[in-house]
Amino acid sequence: MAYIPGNTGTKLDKNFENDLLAIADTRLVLGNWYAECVMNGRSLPDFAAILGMCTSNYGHTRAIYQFLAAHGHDYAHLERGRDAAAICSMNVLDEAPAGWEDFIVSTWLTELATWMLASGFLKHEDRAIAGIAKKIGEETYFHLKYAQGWFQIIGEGKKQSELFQKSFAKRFPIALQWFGPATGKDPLHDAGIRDVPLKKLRDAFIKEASNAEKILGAKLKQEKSVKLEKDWRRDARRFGPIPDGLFEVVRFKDAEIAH
Amino acid sequence: MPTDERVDRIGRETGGYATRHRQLHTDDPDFKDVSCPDCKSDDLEVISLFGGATSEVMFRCRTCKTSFNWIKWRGKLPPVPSVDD
Repeated sequence: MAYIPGNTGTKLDKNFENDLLAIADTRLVLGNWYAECVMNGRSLPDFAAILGMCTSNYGHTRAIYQFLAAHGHDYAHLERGRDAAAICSMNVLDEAPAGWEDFIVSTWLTELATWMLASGFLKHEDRAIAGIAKKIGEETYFHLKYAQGWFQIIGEGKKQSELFQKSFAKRFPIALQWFGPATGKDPLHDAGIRDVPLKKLRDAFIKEASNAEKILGAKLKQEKSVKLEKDWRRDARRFGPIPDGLFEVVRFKDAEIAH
Repeated sequence: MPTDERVDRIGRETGGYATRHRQLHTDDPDFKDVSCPDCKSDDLEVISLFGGATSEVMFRCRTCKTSFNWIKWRGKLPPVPSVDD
């Protein structure tokens, strides 16, 4: 049955579904990043923050998977039945952090980008998805605040600032690819499912990312346009499958005993 | 991530970070309406942006030394582009 907002059981628009899965899968992998890296925190408040952000991100993933399950997907398959090629997380999380500054840059860019895409559904007529977008925003607000606190601390050290700049120069263009081509068709907006054009979300991401300069107190090399990788897929918002090592971290280890 | 050997190179520098965090967030305008539940003082410091639960910020009252958690979500969202921008 064609999608009727608010009517569970109706089939979602395919592009809508793809974007929701891209957000959910990215938050799943981000949650795993936090879980894996928590012991690299610099203090107990860091441990509490990283674990808090970990559970928030798992919660966002679960909420979106449940929404998709209410519209014809198999929840168990979404959560623990897919192979590496089917997981649509941001490429920026493919490579493990090389240090603390790289961890802060990578997680912050991921939080910001996924929030931007989710924010396009804030006024969606289906209250379930609008509510999920709002909740993601409320929680991400404090995740970004945590990262910005670290920008200030990192900005006070010359070596740390340089590591931040180096990480940003490498990670930002990869993160920007998540938004796809700077021009071209925007089927979700054209269909009235997302009220904000993707280009505006992409521009807002660039602008917000550039604001880190003020807090950090150092220039950041920021490319306004990036060439998409040849195998970049619009449906997954990524190129290639997630690396085997990362899949080993995020995959469910005992799917057969899950309930 | 443990599957990548580079994780071993993440060093742990000790000292100062927790204190620095408190300084960074204590005067945050988002917390200007918070007061101590015991003595009502607004002379507070942020111990941790994430308290015993993800939903809480942990404060310490400088007046009566009470520590308390405050539910953080007040509907504030990160910057978002509008269709009218």
